[in-house]
Amino acid sequence: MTPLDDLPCAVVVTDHRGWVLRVNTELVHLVGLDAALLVGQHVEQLFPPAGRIFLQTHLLPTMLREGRINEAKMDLLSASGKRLPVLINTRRAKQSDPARFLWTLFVVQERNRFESELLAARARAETAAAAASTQHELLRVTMASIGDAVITTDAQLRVTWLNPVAERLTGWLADEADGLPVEQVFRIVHEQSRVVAPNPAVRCLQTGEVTGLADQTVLVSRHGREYGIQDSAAPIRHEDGTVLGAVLVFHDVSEQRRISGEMTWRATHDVLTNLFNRAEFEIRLRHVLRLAHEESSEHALLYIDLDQFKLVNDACGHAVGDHLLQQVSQLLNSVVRASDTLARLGGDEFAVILEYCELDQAIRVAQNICDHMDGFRFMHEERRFRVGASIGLVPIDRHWPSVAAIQQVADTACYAAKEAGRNRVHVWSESDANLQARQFEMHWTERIERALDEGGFELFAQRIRPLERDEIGLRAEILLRMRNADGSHALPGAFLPAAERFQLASRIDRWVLRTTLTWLAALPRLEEVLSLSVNLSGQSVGDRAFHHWALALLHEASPAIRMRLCLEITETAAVTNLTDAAQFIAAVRAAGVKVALDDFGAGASSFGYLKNLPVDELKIDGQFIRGLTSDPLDDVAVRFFTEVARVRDIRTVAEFVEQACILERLKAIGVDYAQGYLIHRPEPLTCLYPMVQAVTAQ
Amino acid sequence: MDILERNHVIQRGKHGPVLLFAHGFGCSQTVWSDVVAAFESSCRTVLFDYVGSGEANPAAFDVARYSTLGGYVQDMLEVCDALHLSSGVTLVAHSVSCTIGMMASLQRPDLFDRMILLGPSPCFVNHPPEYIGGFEREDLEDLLTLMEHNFIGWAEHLGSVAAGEAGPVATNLTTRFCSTDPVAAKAFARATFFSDQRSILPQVTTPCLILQNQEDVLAPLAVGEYLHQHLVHSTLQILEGRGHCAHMSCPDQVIAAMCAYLARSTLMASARTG
Repeated sequence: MTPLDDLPCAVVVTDHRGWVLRVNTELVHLVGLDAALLVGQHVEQLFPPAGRIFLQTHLLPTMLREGRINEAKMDLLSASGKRLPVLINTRRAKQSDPARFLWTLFVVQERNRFESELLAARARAETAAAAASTQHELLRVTMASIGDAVITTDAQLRVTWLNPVAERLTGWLADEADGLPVEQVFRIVHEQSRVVAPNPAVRCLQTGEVTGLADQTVLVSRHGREYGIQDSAAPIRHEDGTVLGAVLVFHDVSEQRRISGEMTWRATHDVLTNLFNRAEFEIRLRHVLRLAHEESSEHALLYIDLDQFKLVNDACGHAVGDHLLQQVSQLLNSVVRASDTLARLGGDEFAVILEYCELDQAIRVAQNICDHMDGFRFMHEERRFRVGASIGLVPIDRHWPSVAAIQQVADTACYAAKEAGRNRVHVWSESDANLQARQFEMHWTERIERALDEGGFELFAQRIRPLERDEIGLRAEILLRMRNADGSHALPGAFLPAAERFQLASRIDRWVLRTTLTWLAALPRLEEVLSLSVNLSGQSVGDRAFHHWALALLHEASPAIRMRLCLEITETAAVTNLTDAAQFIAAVRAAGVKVALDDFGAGASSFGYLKNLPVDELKIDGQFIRGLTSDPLDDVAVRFFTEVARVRDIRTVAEFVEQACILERLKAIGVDYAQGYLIHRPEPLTCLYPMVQAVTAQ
Repeated sequence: MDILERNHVIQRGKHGPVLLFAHGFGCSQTVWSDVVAAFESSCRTVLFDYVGSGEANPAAFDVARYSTLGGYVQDMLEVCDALHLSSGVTLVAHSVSCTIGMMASLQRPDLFDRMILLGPSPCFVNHPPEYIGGFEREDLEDLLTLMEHNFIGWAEHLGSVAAGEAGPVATNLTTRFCSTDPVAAKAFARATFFSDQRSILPQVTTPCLILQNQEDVLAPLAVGEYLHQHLVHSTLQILEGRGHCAHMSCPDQVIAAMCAYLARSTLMASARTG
């Protein structure tokens, strides 16, 4: 026994490198090995692997450096493999040279238990802190990267934080804004009224509830920039419910609003003229009619159809036509009041709704438009076009049952204005008998359909006579009439525009062509017919399905019938569908059918087209014939047409020949054929046969 | 942040070849004091602390960066960069710093002329039968627990030191001689003990001297042999000591081995150039 053995703890003596020099009995007892086996070993042998590392990396360096180890917690490894927690203190023995170190090892079972609990508690706290820190980091990164702007405030509505988007939009950096009232940093006004908008953060703290999206607010930044925004705010609450502040979330919707504004504009406007479109016009018309019913107020509707627009369009091309429409739109805009609704309904049709406008005033406005149009000249490449406006005016009051009824009579009134001589106003009134009759006939589509189905159409014909030679046989143009209920006949001018508008023209053409061919095939003496001309609408000329149908029908007919048939195509229709028309013309001519260009000169088209359109006949437009003897220009035009036709070996026909002097002049000029009331008033086709007359040149 | 301040870089000696001393896990640059003293007159010596150890700036600690050895490699290279050292350096590394140095040499093949590796181990975990690193995984998990227990005690102790109760000897502990920050120490422990860098050994071409104690629980002889076999330009020298800190327990042996090695390689270098 030595004094060391009396100590109430295990003791080891080592040199400075850790070699064991002595142990006491308590240590022998704890480890379960003889002292002889322990002395001469390294002190690390007393510990399990983890302890050895700790000893080597921490304790021995400390001992060597500082001369001591204070309260190291280690497990002591017993011979049986048992681990015993011990608390180690090491001191360098005084005046030892070479240095000796005294190691004391206290067994610390109880302390270990407390410590373990303490460590477990700390581990839990660390895990929670790590989770919170992860969450906070996640939140921070999220806030920094989301596209929404976020501002947080304290319960007094002082700004506590802004994310980068909020910094950009408000113009305030988070540091600068810190502590400022939220209204100063987040300044919003109403988009239109410019009144300061209620701050959602303020409201949400007042109500304690999430404040929903406010629309139409504009954020004014620190530097005066404005952003259309959508915002919302929510109170931030502690777990116990106390309000800690508010969080304000908003995003920049300037672009969205611009696009949506643009979309709204496009939905209600005509892109070409910037006027309202038909859809918006109809909405406003309904609104005005409702006002008329509710307030017994008076308003007016103008339907405006441009005269000669087609002429410009055909002569100069669509781009120029568009330019004309734009100029006319500007002109109309300058005449109507800002509160009136000026719309382009399509093509060259315009409409004006004059709100709270009595008839007298409406007539003045309409007349004013006509006057302006009268003075208006459209210039294109040194050519001047006079473009008039035919205006139908309908007073809107409570007596109208629907907008459809108003539109129908407006259409009719406009048509009446056109018929009455163009560039004038026709005012609809209850007493207008003609118009009422027309209104009765407004349901043209129904009537046309019924006429096609139930034989309501009838073929008329107008003779065509040669001017320079005699001929025996029937030469005529087939004309179409629709039987009215009273047995009278409606002229094509009444129903063809409706047919064109409702895409029924081609069906009518089919009926006319088929009926004509049937009529010809049924003739006992076909040779008594020299030529029958059938008109084709622009729709048919541009319709390949019609081309196929017509060619099949023509090929079913005999060559003798085909050589007696002439198809009349208006110059405008041919030029509009030049490629299709040229193909169709070539195909029917190959089948022996002749082709005439109708209304030649009306479109002021270039003669160059004639190169691409090899036809058999030119029918000179009536406008040149009527003034032939009074207007030298017309004379020149007809001579010119005739000359060109002769060069191209094309027959010429003059339409609307109504005076003898004109007929004489045509003969002098050398026009081949004439047609008009002077020669023959149209009558049913059946009346022209079999009473074939000899027509001789005078 | 200034790197020299961050890593508490201390330079001694202005002339001669550059010796860069890198401490191992658990300690700081002060472990080198005995060895460095022998070279101050003939060499330029550079010492530093890894972030998380010694007197490096604790504010620079970043768990993500220092949870793998890569973060410590960066520290070492950034210290060299800050000192404009791009070649001609002799690295003197202890323990895990040997691995860190080897990794750094792959990134900057010209930086180190040679490496003196004291108690190196590329992998502490056993991978029987071909490799015995010395420990099982559980042993290393135990180490982390052990560190937990001790850092509680040490924190208390540091408190008493601050209050002046521990006496004059203990005041040195305020220099944080060993790691006491549980978070940083655990990160370094994980990076050190759970990494396996055996695969990079064949790529290391820098000449190196492996110094190994006769008995070292952290770096058994078999590990030294393994390193010697896999490092192409290596010399293995066994020291007559025991334990992992030969530079502290028997600095004379370490200094002698270093001098011999440096003299030999300088001779060889001058033979090559001359």
